[in-house]
Amino acid sequence: MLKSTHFLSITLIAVLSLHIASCLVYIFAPSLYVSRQLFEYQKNKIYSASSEVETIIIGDSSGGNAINAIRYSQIANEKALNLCLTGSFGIIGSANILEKAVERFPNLHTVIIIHTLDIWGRDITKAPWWLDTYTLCPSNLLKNPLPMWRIFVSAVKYYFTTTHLKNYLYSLLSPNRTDGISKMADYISQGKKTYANSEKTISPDATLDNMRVQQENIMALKNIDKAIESHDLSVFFIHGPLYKSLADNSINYIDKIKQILPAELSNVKFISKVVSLTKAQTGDSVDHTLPAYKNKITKRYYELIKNNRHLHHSSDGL
Amino acid sequence: MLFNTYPFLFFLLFVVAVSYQLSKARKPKWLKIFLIVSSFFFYGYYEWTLVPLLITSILINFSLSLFIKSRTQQGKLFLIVGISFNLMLLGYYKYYDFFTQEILNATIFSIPPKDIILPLAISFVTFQQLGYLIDIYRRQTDKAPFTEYVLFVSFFPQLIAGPIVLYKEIAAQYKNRFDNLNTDAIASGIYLFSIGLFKKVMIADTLAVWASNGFDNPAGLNCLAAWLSTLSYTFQIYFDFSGYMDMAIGVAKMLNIDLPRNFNSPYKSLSTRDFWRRWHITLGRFLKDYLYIPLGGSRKGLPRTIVNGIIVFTLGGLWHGPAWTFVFWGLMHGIGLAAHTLWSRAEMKLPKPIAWLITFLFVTLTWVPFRAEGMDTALQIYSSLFNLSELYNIADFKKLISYISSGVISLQPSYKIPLVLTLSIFSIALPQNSYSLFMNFRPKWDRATACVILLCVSIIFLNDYTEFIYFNF
Repeated sequence: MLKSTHFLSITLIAVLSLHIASCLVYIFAPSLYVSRQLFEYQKNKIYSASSEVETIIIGDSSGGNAINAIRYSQIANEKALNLCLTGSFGIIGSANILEKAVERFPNLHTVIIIHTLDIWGRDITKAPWWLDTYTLCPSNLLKNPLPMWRIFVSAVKYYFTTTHLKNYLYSLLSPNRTDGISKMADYISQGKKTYANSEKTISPDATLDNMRVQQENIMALKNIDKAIESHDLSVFFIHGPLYKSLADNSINYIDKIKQILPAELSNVKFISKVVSLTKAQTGDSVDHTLPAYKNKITKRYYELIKNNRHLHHSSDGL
Repeated sequence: MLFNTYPFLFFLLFVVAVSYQLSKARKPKWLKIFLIVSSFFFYGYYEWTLVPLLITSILINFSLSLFIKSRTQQGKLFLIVGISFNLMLLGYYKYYDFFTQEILNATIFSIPPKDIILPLAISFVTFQQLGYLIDIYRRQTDKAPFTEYVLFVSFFPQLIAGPIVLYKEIAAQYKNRFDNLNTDAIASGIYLFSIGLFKKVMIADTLAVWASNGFDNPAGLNCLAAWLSTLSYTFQIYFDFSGYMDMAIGVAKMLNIDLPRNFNSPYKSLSTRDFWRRWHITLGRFLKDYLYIPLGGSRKGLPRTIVNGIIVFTLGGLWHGPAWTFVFWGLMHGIGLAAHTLWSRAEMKLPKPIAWLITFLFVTLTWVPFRAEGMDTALQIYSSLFNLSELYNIADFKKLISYISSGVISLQPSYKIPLVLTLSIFSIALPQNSYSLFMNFRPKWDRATACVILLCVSIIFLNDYTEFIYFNF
């Protein structure tokens, strides 16, 4: 027989230990998450590439899957690197990569930021991969749009969540489950179930029109806009490609972004055109280009940039 | 605030710690006020704009109760006003669109829908307050002091989805228990809470994958898949609701309050009548005391008994939601009860295993309209359930395999759902249910180990939380 106070103490200590164990898993098993692997991969790419790089592509998976940097270099006749992270890093993740690239590449003159359309509606505190990037390299570019207490709460919630432990247990049960980085794709490998092979489908009525724009995400892009003021850079912001029916159904949302962004940006050139993907071109997510069409989509993005080079400030572009 | 979320766990820790200190300091009045404030915070955290409605309803009902004098004309008048007010409130928020769209618009009317948002907990709050007013009129309870009345209605462990508490059964506890909060009660409360959390997070939410798969895509179901979905839902709703009840009763126990039992192994029932003595016991009790008996109960002959039973269960079905599927579900149970009444009067008896099997199959089949989005879906599922010829079709068997694997969400190991469903079915045979374990609780090492395991496993999977099914009612 136990004293009830001992019973309570045992229970509380066990629950507390569980959270500490989960935090330790996060710290000591960075390979558990492919997003964290990708962050390391892109960082290594920056530090191992020649300093001749003139163009970088940053952003999330919509950009990572859409632009083949080698193909882009050939068409544009300038050395390009695709340094896209994933959407869970948010725009702060892109700022982090931009900062590293600016320091590393003296000849850099063009930056293409590609984020998927729904990035503006995401709650950055709920997808706090940006905490990694924030703590690794705080600076002007990474000036956080959140107050300190929200950063603290978000950090505690994120690092101590038992999800890490759960994912670790699952990884032990099915070690080959997660896809890794593909050197050939120069990005995370896509899943086998795609829209192109009809193993994934989307409702014909699906729309982003109900999405609310989170002000923190706009602030994050404004921070980049402000930080590049002193650099001689052409920075473009373009939406990632999107499955055609979803893009067609989301006209109001796209218009809303078109109203908001140009008013907030002075140095970043905003191109509002959405590159739409046919069913055959869509990979494992509505904003992922199927690898077979990556070169074709790369060319479309190159042409968009070329046609909008004349823009001197933020505009709705072509 | 949902019981199966981190904010609630932190909230609970805080409320229990403060309540314990207030109780230790012998300040039960302050403790009641603290619990009322906490309860409104709990309610408002979900949707704060609904708090004024809850307060208004409490104030009006409390004021009306002051004018009700037992068995007098004036008392009767105020009781009628009270009942009308509560039914109108419930009618407006819950049934307005159903009544106008499904009934009036089927005649000569053409009334546009109002798309009224159903305030959380309104069905439970209304029933508790109705019970209080009627009990005062019947002289079955004393009038409550204001603070105790507000706490009785808003007490957060039972506020959202029951159990439906009667003031007469809880009044003495509110008077005497708050200066005696103790660690024994907290320990036994945590023990039951951990069982409930495990039922919800690990069992109900796992089975929900297969249940939703089938009920959301009824056209693609073959016979086996339809049975798997229906069985999954049968156990999902039980573990979801009884898990919620375990948590509610456990949380109340941490505050030294004993809420009434609401489940007693319902899937062990040997008849429909037995089922309703074991499933959602406080709803059955409410319907019996405040509807069935006033209608005449079984005192007015066999035909009237049967009609009364069918009326009560049909209205009970409608109480669950403004849809024909719920009405149909209630009607089926009413008819089931009538059949049992006739069977009993004929003094016929079945061997226990057969009686159990018939009851279990009946209850399982009645969950189909309860879960289905509409009657069309329910009929499609029934058609698949009884299309036994498909059992021999190899092509359909392949479809089943594809169905099973499509139900496995990416982060779930593939064996989890079938394993949980199999264990759920065998759980019917367990000799003790969670409530019995709770009643016999002693702080021993084996209980502590079980509590830690259940709590830790549930917390690991807590991040995939979902709402409780009964929140919708």
